[in-house]
Amino acid sequence: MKKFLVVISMLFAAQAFAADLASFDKLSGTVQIAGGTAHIPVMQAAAKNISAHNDKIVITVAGGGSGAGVKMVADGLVQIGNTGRALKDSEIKEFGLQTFPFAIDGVAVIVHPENPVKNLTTAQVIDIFNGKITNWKEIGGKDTGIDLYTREDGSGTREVFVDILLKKGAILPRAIIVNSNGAMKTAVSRNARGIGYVGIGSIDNTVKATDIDGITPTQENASSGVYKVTRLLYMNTKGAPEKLTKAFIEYITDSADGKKIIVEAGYIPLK
Amino acid sequence: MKRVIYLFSILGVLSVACLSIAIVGGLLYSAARIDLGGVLSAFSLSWNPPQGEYGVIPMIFGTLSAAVLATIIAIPLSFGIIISIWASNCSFMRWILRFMTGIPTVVYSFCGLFILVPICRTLFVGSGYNILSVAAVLSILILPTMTIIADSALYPLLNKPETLRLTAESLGLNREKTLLHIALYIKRKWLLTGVLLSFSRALGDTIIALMISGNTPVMPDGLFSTMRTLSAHISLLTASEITPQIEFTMFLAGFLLFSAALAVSLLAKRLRGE
Repeated sequence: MKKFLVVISMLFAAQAFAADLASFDKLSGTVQIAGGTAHIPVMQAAAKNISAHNDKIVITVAGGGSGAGVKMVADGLVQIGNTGRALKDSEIKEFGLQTFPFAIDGVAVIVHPENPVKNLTTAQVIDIFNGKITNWKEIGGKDTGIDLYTREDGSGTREVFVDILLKKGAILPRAIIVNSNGAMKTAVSRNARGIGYVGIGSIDNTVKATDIDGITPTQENASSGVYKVTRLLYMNTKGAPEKLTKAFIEYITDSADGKKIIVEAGYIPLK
Repeated sequence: MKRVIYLFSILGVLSVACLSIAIVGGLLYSAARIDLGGVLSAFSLSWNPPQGEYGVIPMIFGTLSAAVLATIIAIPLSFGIIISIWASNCSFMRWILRFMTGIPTVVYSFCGLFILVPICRTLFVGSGYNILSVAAVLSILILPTMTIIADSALYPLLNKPETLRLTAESLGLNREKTLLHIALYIKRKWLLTGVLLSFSRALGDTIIALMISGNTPVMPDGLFSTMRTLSAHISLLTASEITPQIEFTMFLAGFLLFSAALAVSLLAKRLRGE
């Protein structure tokens, strides 16, 4: 009986899968995507499902950061430009952009997995990043210097981190600049003295996310609003999206598959 | 045939002319879109766009210091390789050098990032992202260029019997002595040309600096200080929100790199007396 139920449920799952992708049946063409680096796992998983279903559809996914996402979609170089921040009024007006939020992501402070520091207060994070605290010893760690890592201007992750967690405070100009969520994770995972920040979806066992004021940065805490350093992830198009692009966006925002992909990438679906 | 040759020389000249016009034109056009204060702010010591500070001097300084240091590291290495090539007459070494010129610079930079930066962090102060790491990787990058130019200048001098070799041998000089005391002196201008062209290559490389300099837009204060180069600056700015002021900065950085390459190339040409 149990086996039978499993088979039945698998059949249903398969059907749901097919139904989600049915909207791509008669379509063909290319969707080019660039911008926010936090979005990449979601975009790639969706692209993989869609092109496996219909090989006449080609979807390319690139990074570049939120700033590049806006610029490239505004210039018509890509159909979808991703941002990890809301569009500015000037960007909506000047370029005629339309925006499609699809997931909630939190931004967490990360350190090396062997770093004994487990919790940081907001004030400590502010002081670490503005250079007032320069040794891990001062906040319960080993007696070593602190290497700051930050993201480039134009990064959506940076904007959320600075605006919400640092309360618009300054980041020491000496902080090392890396230019993607992945590069940040790699850099901090290889530096026992490092501290940086990434989207919660990017966290894995190569780095350790510290609690902020006693609250663990998990997607549950982010979606319930307990963890405050959160943002939305957006896809943006120039004007109304054409058929294939629209189907792609709806696949991510509305379908059951899309929700599954978003959850697997470590984010919380918006709908 | 003659026409074809002319056509291609014109094409070559045109492409350089177009590039120059694009850079200078872009610089003037973007300068015209901002006010004088904006143009002048580019020549300050501080880069902090939210505060309206757009100084590129730290990047100029970073670029120059990394390139100069890389050249200084590469010169003795290259000298040693030249001597060993001539002492052993080893053609395998030449092949290695030629092969090295073809390795994409990103390969050098990720090796630097994963090996050199952690080593630097353990051995010295700071994070390991610093001028010294960048210069060390750049020196390996420019080493083959420097050595090959010197080697190709020395090759005819030391290999053709009718030139230097017979005279030197009749005076009782062996290969190494001929190289050290005579050939290197005769070809000194070419050696310097090699040094200059490698320096120019070190000035312009982007990905090495982008990956292991730390990219901090502040004046470096020592060998173990993080820094940002002009080329990495352009690359990082493409990801930011491009305002007219940022656009001007990018063209200015491009113009500076272009002019530096031009100046070095002209200097090398003059040196050889062409």
